Amino acid sequence: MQALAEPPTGSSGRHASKGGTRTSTTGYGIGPAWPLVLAAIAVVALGTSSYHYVGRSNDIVEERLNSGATLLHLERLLLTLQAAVAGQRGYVITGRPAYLAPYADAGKRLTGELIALEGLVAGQPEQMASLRALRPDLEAVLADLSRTIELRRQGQEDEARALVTSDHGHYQMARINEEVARMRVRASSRRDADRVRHLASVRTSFVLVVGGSAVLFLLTAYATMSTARELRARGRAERAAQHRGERYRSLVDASSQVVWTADRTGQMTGDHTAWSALTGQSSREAEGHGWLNAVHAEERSATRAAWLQSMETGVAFSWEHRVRRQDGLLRTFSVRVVPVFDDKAAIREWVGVHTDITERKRAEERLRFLAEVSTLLAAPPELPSALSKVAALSVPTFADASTIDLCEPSANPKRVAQTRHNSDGGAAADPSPGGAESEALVEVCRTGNGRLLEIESASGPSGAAFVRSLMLVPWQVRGQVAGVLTWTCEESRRRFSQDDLAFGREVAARMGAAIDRMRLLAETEEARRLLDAIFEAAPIGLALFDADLRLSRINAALVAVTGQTTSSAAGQPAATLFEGTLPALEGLLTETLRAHRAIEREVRGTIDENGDERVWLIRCAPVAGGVIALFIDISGRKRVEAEREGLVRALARSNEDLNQFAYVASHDLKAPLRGITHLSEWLEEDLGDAIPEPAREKLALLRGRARRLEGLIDGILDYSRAGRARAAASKVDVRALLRDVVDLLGGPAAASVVIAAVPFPALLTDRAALQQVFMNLISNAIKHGSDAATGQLQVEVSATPSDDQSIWTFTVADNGPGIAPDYHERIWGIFQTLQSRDKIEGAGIGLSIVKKIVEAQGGQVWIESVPGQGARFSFTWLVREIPRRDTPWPEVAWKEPLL
Amino acid sequence: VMKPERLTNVLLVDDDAVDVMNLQRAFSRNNIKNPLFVVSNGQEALDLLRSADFPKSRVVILLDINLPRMNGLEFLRLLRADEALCSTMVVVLTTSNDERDRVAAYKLNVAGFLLKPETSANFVELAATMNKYWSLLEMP
Repeated sequence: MQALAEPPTGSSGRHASKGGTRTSTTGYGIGPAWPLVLAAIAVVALGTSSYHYVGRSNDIVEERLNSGATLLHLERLLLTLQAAVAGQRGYVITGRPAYLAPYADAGKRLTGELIALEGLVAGQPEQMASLRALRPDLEAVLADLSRTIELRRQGQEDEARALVTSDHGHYQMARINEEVARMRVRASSRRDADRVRHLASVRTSFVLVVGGSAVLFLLTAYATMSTARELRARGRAERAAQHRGERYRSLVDASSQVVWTADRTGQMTGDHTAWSALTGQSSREAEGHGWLNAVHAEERSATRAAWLQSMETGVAFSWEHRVRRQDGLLRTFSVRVVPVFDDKAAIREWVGVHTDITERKRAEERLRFLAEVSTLLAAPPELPSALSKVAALSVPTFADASTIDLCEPSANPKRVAQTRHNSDGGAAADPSPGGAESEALVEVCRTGNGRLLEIESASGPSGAAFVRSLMLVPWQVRGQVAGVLTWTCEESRRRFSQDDLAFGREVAARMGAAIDRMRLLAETEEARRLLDAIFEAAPIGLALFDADLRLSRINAALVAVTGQTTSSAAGQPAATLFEGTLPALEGLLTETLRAHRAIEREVRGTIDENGDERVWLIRCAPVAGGVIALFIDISGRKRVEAEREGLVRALARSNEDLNQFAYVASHDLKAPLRGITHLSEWLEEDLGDAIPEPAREKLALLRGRARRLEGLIDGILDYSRAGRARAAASKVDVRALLRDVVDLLGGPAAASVVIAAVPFPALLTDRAALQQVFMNLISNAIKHGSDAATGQLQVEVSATPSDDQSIWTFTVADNGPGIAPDYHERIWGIFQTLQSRDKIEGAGIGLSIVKKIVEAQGGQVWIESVPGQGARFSFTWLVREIPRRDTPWPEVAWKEPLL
Repeated sequence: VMKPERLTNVLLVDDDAVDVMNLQRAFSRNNIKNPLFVVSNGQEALDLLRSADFPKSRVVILLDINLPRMNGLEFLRLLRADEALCSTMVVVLTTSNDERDRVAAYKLNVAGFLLKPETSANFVELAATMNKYWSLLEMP
């Protein structure tokens, strides 16, 4: 077997680079060649012309140098001659031989100079002629010099001097000078002309060189740019080729393909490193059919059978099975093995490819699982059984064990379903969750966040150490964490990843949604049933109309009233149904639909089975797709209301009559009384002293009785008014009120009224009524106690609040004679007095008015007294008057603290 | 300097003989010279007022409320509706202290609402005060 884990990347790379080369050839072919040729031509042209110009320039330079040298040698010739002449003169005059040094060399030097000059001026006829002319003069001068020196040496000093001063020598020197000057001028002019020519030559060369260089530069730059572009293009092509190669490699790596070969009979042979790397089997272990041992036990025999069948039939083998990888993980592979034929169409060998399709399978499984979960939960069976099915469904595809717990708000999660996969195929009871798992479960229930958990366990079912990998995902129903799905892996040695967690969340979300929907359906159904029951059982008439105002439903109560049968009425328009009996209904329904709000109205109608006219309170409310109408028979209520109103009116009239009666009675009774009084007075006045004393006394008694009767009549009037006319409540400071009362009463000097030093309240009440009560009680105490034998009469008014301070009890206590218990009830009656009217003038009405007023205010009044020990009159009074319905509560709400 | 006393024609409408006597006694006690006409109900008062021989100027009517046949308020209403009599000055003198009567009377433009005094002495005093007041009044 030959395992080729690496695909032929190299050849692919070559392909790629070949393509690259092809593209670059087009670039080289024309692009860079012609600038180079032009450059070469330019270089040659430049070189030739430069050479030419430089050569010419050199000639010119040489000629210029020649002219310069001519001038130089001419100078030296003159100098040498002048030095010799000067030395000869010095010797002639001084006789010192030292002066003769220049003369000694002169001959030789002059000769040298002449030779040099001849060389320099060769080719210049004028200069040559001049040189020739110079020579005899020079020789003549030298001869003169020699002669003079000789004379001096021989001592013939004078002759020598004579010679020196003679014109002969001067004449020769002048000729020499003239000739040399002429040569000088010629050499100078020649040198100047050469200079001009040289400059022109140099300029031409410069132009040539600069121009040529520019052309060359341009060509070179162009060539360079072309080359760079070409290089970049080639780099790109090479990189693209490299990427293609890398991509291919990644592809192969990613697809995790393992390629292997087997011989004609299907035996795996040879070396197979890739297979070994995948499964951990050695070459020897995999040989033959040994490789099948890496296949999962459940699928091994089936694979072998199918494999052997392929060998027999010679048909390509296609299969899927799980292979346990070297790291112990089971991965799903697809296998495809194809025969390779030799020249004679016989099978030479088999080439197989194992491709890891675990991820694809998992994705497929997940999709299928999600679909199955949705299907399971879509049909609404009992929730626990659906959950159990979900738990069972996930094993063993996704986990070795699956459990479902329901979260309880205040208790531990409740396990409702569990499924465990055992290698022996049986389902075993799941052990109750351990500490870490239980904690995680509670946490997930609380937070609603799914999580992964790994628990190291000392020994697993097989006895070896293992890691339990758990994934807990919660699902929510209506924003509440409802339950947790837990998947556990231990035997399969799988470990859940973040990817699995995301999938788990998806599963949980579907469960939540499905359960929510399930509940919603159940609740909707329940609500519908409840509504139905209410609709039917309601004691008021109910009718449902659709948007076209056709009756769609009618309840039992309305059926009973109208005598309509449900079947005959259904579908009929409201207008027809209630045309003659309740014509207002249609308008109401229409109005409700248009206004889209509930409308209520009282209408008279004869929908009653017997055709009786009744008052119906019809309430119409818009509902989905129509209007619901409620029919309430309020005829009875209406009748009662009318009766009550009549009674109230009668009562008011009666009260009015009573008022009138009391008033008229008192007026009519009082008028004759006053007449009696007046007449008795006039009798006394008119008769004057003629009346005997006993008759005068009787007249006084007559008037007294008349006054008493008037008092009684006033009492009746006061009593009938007491507690009836209630003034509006106002804030009353009780202590201040008491001070007013005491001032008003004045009272005899023998009595003192004391307002106790206890807190008195401020009340919100009818001031006049309270004042009347205090006035009557205090004046009663003064009236009946003033003749007490105990001397100084003391009346004390005090107050005590109830616990909640809503009711106050006021007490008026005196130290008078007191009242025997027998009379404690009678004193409150009208016209009841305990003393003779002749003794104490009183109508016997004060206490009865107190009682009437206090009770009208919702209070109580009572007396505590023992004869001889004074009396205590007490009454209760509300802190705030109970507001009457028709009068709004005064703005002065009760906020101030009690006094 | 006192002005010479001007007489006022007083028409007392009252059915109570004692009260009539009361006023007469009060007038004589105060030496009041005002002519005093007395009728016992509203109808009689109207009849008298409309009769030709009843004085047409300086008239004051003293009116009780509770009267037989036509009570005081009914009389007032008819009086105010009568073109010739509507400006007549009326003072109510009654035993009724009813609020409703008081309001109704003032609505019918009475010049005063007096309660009959309880005693004769007070009646005398009241008559004197009224007389004094009337003598100062300029009337239609």
